[in-house]
This record gives sequence, C-alpha cells and structure tokens, in this order.
Amino acid sequence: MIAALLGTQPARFYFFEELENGIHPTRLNLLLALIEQKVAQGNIQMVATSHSPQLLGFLGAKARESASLCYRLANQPEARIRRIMDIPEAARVLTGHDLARLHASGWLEDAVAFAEDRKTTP
Amino acid sequence: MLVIPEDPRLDQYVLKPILEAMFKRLGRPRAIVRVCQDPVLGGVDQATNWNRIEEILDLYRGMVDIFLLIVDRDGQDGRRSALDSIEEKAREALPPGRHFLAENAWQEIEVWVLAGLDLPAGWSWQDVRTEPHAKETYFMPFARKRGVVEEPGEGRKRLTLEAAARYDRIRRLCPEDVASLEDRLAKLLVPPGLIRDAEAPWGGSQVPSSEAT
Repeated sequence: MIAALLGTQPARFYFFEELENGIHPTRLNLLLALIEQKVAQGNIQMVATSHSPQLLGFLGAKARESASLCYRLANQPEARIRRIMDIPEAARVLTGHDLARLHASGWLEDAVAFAEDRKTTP
Repeated sequence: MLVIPEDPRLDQYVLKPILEAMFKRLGRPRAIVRVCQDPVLGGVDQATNWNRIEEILDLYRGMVDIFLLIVDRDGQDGRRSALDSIEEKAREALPPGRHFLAENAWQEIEVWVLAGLDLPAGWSWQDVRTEPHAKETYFMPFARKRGVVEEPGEGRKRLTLEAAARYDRIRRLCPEDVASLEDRLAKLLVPPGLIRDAEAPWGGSQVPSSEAT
C-alpha cells in the first residue's frame, strides 16, 4: 500500500480490502495518517474496508465523516451500506463514545436494527 | 427491546429466544430483541450498579422502547428491592415513551431453559426451582447428559431453542419471574401496537401514565 501511495506514478483510485491485514496494531495509525494525507492533497481517492475497531478509532474527523457501515439485518437476504453519521443517534453518541468501542460492542448493528424496526412497524 | 444481562457471553443464548417467544405470545412476533454486549457487566454487583446501567441507557435511549435488565436471583430475597430501586432511577432518567424493567430469574436464568425441557427421572422441579446454584447443580449435568456442552454457549443455544418452542410450559412453571415479566410487558404493549409519541426522537412509544409501571 505504501509503495502504491508513495510511488512515482500513483493511481487516481484505490480500493483496499481489510486495510489492517498484516499490520501491527501500533502501526495502524501511521498507515491511516499517510492515507489521509495523500487523499487530502486531492490527487487520489481511496475506498477501504476494515473489520478493525482499532482502525476505526484512529480515523480523523474528515475520514470518519466518510465512513460507512456494511451490514445485514436478521432474516434479510441483502447486505446494506449506510454512512455511519447518518445512523440515528450516531452523531449524539459519538460525542461521548469512540467509534472503535461502538463497532466492537455491536452498537452500530443494534442501531440499524432498531432504526429499521421503527421504519417498518406501523 | 434491549436486554441487559449480567454477562452476555452465555446469557444471550438463553434470553433472546425466550424473550422472542414471550413477545410472540404477546402478539408481537416481529419485535426486535437485541442483547447488550457492552459493557460486559460480569456479575450481579455490576448489573445492579446504577452507573453502569446509566451508561447503557445513554447509549441506547434514543432508539430502544423497552430496556430489560435480567439478573439471577441466586436465592437472595432482597434482590427484588435492589431492582425496584434501579427501575425508579431509570424511570427518572429516560425520556417519555421509554421504559425500563428489571427482573430476577429464580434462581438463575438457566432454570428457564430447564422449565421448557423434560427433566430426567428422579429430578424434582421444585428442587430445581429453589436451588440457588441451579446452573452447576442441574443445568450443566443436564447439558452433559444431552451431550451438548461443547456446542455454543455450553449447550445453551441448542437447549434454549428447544425449550423456547414450549414457552407456555416455561411460563407456567416460572410464575414468579417469567409470567410476572410477561404480565408487565403486556401492560406496555397497548394493542394494536405501541402508541406512538410524535415528540420522541424516533417516533417513540407512549403508554398512558396510568398504565406505565
């Protein structure tokens, strides 16, 4: 990833699956900082997936605004994607709790499940 | 409903299926029952600690209609009064239309599972019901006898699904906790559904104050 980002001919768009794979947890923040820095320069765009609560905890404010949750509701066949800041209550709760803990605890999945229930219950 | 167990790691396998069966009996088969995974309270002392409960209420108060704290009674007569105190604090802390119930399982939640199953010959239901350490004394031997202790939840997942299919029997054999809880829930579920409170953040739910407990 670093070679791609810092090479002489970087692409305009990258998709990385499970960004944290093979990287020591204490170095994740360095990788994220590099990515956020390169993206902020405006030349590249990046989409990445992660299962790592720790990585989510390192997201800067701007990257957190772009973070989305991929989920599947119980008894539903399809997966869905929703921007985390668009999940009801997320903006309020994130003022007092970090995203890493909310992800690890299942709060995000709880929130979308309860939100869906409110949409479908008459 | 958000269920707050003493420890979700094993309790979730028991509580979710039985509470879903309870809602089904109450005419709400599609009720969303989620088990709170964080914080792991890790025992009745933490589960009855108001600061820990308040933390959970803050995380979920905008989205959950009914919070339900479930702890083991462990043969302690005074546990109900501790739960009454928490219910009172929660009532003051929650916005209108949100409800908090607390129940103590006689004497441990694994007894609810055993209530839905056929006990081995020679076991007395009254003995199971009154044993303060029913998990070690009755549930685990039962799970070993069935050969399911290596399965998820040390057999709780499989055995509870089996038991929950006979929910009426659980309710009949556990009047002090399961039937009592069901009766309290029934008072909150005003047909044909929770009455919506337009002022609550997500549409909310509201029961007449005379029926709120």
